[in-house]
Amino acid sequence: MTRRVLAFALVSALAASSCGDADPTTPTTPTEPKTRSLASRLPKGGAVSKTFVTQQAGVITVTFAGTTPPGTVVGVGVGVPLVGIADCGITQAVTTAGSGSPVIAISAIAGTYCVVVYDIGNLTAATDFDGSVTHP
Amino acid sequence: MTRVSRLCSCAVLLLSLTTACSNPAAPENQGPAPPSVKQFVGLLDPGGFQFFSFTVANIGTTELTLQVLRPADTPLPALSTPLTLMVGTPLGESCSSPLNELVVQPALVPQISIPTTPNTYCAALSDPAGQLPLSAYFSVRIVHP
Repeated sequence: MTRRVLAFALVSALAASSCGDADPTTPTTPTEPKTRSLASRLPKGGAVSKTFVTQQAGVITVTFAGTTPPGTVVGVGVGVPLVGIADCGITQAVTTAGSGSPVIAISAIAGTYCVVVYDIGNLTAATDFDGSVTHP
Repeated sequence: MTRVSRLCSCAVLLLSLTTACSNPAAPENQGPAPPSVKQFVGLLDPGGFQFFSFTVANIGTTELTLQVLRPADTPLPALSTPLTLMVGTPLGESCSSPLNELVVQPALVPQISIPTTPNTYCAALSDPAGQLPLSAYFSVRIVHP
């Protein structure tokens, strides 16, 4: 009899525990910002874009370190992947020679975005550049 | 307890276990439909007006964002000219009866957010002050229930 009671209790406990949702009270944990390198080679008269996905709302920050050799002013923009420069429709853009400091900081909801570096007519040949984008 | 009654008890227990986790209302309760996302794109001339109609199917919030404003026929990548973004209801071949209207510059967070019920609405972008230096391609993101 005792064995039957124990078995019943075990089955009941399993039944009770198997019906609940997977911890519905667990809060959504904000993810750490992600940083991606933008380092690439910019063709004369051209543009280079990279697409990235933000999982939650937050600030997208673009840092442009500069070109090699340094000192060339280029355009840097952030936007959405639509028809535009290198398929990036720019929402906000700046011109910069780079300093290592953030050149664009823009709030965004979760979604797919792009960052683009483009020649504004200053390049005489293809030029390497470095930078990064940090996003939620 | 007889063998038959024990078997009956087990059968009842098994039946209760197999039905305990079912949710007979599940097929009717799928939660809210995912929002619909549309891109209202076009070419806006200085002093111009463009609108786009869309149909809201459910009660919820409709959001509009001017994401891109790019000059046509120039290598300039982006403009930050303030433009008027509006959501209203279509009237004839125009968009009137503004429910919300705001002067905006391109951004990546919703600029207009209004509660809407099932109906036909319109989004309009205009340059009433003629501040655009030249014609510009634009893209407005519309998210509605």
